[in-house]
Amino acid sequence: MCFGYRRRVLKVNLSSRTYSIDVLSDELIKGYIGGLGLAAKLFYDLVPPGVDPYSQENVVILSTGPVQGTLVPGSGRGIFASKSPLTNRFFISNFGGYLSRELKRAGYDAVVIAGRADRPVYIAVDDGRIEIRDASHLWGRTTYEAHKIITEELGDPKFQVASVGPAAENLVRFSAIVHPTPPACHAAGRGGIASVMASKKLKAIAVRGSREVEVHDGAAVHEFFKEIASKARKHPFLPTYGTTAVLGNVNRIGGLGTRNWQSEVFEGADKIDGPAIIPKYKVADMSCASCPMGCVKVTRVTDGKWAGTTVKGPEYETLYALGSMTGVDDFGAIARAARLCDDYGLDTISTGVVIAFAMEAYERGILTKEETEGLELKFGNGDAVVEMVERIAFRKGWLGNVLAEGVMRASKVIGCGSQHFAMHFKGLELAGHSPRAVKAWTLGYSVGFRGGSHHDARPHDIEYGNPVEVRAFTIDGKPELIRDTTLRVMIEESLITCRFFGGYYGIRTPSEVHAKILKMVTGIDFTVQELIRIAERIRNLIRVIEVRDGFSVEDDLNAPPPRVLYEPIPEGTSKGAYTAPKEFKHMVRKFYELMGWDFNTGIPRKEKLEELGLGHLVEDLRKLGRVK
Amino acid sequence: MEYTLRFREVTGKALEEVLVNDGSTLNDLISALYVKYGARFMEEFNNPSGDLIGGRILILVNGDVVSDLSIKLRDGDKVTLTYLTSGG
Repeated sequence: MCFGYRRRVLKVNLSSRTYSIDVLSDELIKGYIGGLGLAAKLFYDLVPPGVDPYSQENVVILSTGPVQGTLVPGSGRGIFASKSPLTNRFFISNFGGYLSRELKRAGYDAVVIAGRADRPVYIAVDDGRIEIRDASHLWGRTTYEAHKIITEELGDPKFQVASVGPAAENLVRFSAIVHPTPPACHAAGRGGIASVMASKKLKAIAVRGSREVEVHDGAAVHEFFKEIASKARKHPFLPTYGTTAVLGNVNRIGGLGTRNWQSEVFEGADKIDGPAIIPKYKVADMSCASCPMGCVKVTRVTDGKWAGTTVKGPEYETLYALGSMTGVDDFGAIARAARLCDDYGLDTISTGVVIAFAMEAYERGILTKEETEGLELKFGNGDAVVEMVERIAFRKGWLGNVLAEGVMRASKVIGCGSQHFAMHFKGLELAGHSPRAVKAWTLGYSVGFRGGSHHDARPHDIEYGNPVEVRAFTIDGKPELIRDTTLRVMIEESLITCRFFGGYYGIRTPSEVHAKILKMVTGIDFTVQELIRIAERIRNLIRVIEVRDGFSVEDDLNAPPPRVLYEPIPEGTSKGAYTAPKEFKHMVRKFYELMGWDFNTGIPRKEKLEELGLGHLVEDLRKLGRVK
Repeated sequence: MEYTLRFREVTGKALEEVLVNDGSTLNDLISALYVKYGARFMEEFNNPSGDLIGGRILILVNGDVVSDLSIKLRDGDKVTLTYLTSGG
């Protein structure tokens, strides 16, 4: 008996409107744990190499780990996985709330959605009852509206809903899956998986479950909850300010992306930092399942043009992308733009970054007023940001349509040297953690499987505590740091536990605490060494997926935007920092060596794959002509 | 001095000028603040939240992280008391 799991994977085929249930094997559990590991394994087995993200052959996976549905603090997380239309790579987006707990209570570890419906549908999972229901009346509705209508027609507000909005229906490449828990919401925001859902004519998935998840040692889990909760409630800023508190410090160390990363110091930071906005605008504190910390804040704008707007957060990443990146320090405009992103189902990070890119292009004269259709698209213009969110979501006008493709594709269309300041790694718009002020991040983003995500490696969890000489001006130890944090993330994303409990569970490598959690929940003994090996197995499997899709070392080496490699930060504490091409290449080479990957090809070495029990993948790559 | 987040709650202010003697170290400054703000400040400084790594206290001097409390302060230095804000 293996506790914590349901041992059932629900597979839905929208083309045939059928479903089946697969058993989650011991081999899969012990080899990949769940969450990310499970999603990567399912993806490798189900999705052929080279498929278009919007083709029927792509799948959308909703995945959980062993801790979802238990009392383990920070377990209110889930994962959506698919091939991303932004990066053309295997991608996962991690989200909070209650959906993953509900899925486990309903009796499933994961849902795999394949095929394409002939008209809009949503999937309703109610314990053992699975329905594919008509969603024609929901198409075009916002995410909050879809949530309301679905819970009403299913007759129970306890149904947890993840929905796409109009942006995904318009195939905006960075649309977000939104999980409303009014008055807040949570989002699997990154990578545009929502538009893959919409390409399958799938509006939403709604889940209700009634059975508790059994754990191996309930008393130990309960004690663990009490121990962590007593610390988490005393956390110095997350219970009070949520992630809004991050902004001020990132600005202080000179690493806050400002005006499309032309600077990393934002003069308006004090106006949109947590201590400025939370006391004034907060109307509710909320939390995800099994979370004693409660970092979710809901704010309402009480003054100015956007008074009356209620929004979740905004989180730090949103304040960065729609605030400092666009040069906007008007909280009302940021909140309004963020709320529209939630309603229409847009990733706030990518949305802010593409708007900031367009603003720089406009200020440099690359975009004309004719092309912006009269919009004064200058940094600091909050109304223009709000307007551009509308245009992008509905692909309105030439510019809205171009920007809806994401910054990498938009810069190719707009041209005139704009690729120099298209701030993305591997097609994914850059998150709010500087690859110049935190040099390790240049490597982390470049070798991460997602690209510009702040979740592939997490060097800033450590580097923000180091002096500028260490974090911004040396490459010593950075490849080792990125290797370690990459492996830690593989385990966190497979369990799945919230990042904000990293301070208690470990922020560098897989830890004894991760092993303890697994033992209490599943009954399986894992040593830290075994967890490291599992983490390596998961990352190497994903690496083989990347290789299978035609990616190589060149894609990692070409990942950083030119601004990161050639433009020093012009001011602030991190003034002068950038990542010179030579030192970047040196870091990539060292990282490959640490990972057991061939620097000439980017392919994991045969002996590495065999050591991890993945030797059979070599034959798969041989058949595809990727190895001799 | 710049106080952020919970330090702002403990001291009741965001900014203040603190006069110290010539040749004073960062340690001297922190000791003076202990005396000025008392037990709650000391408690915050010594044990912010158990064994939390991600939320530990940071001292910035002119925006940069400093771990050596024996460094000498100069006239006009801006010292910030904050926490490692690693989230996001």
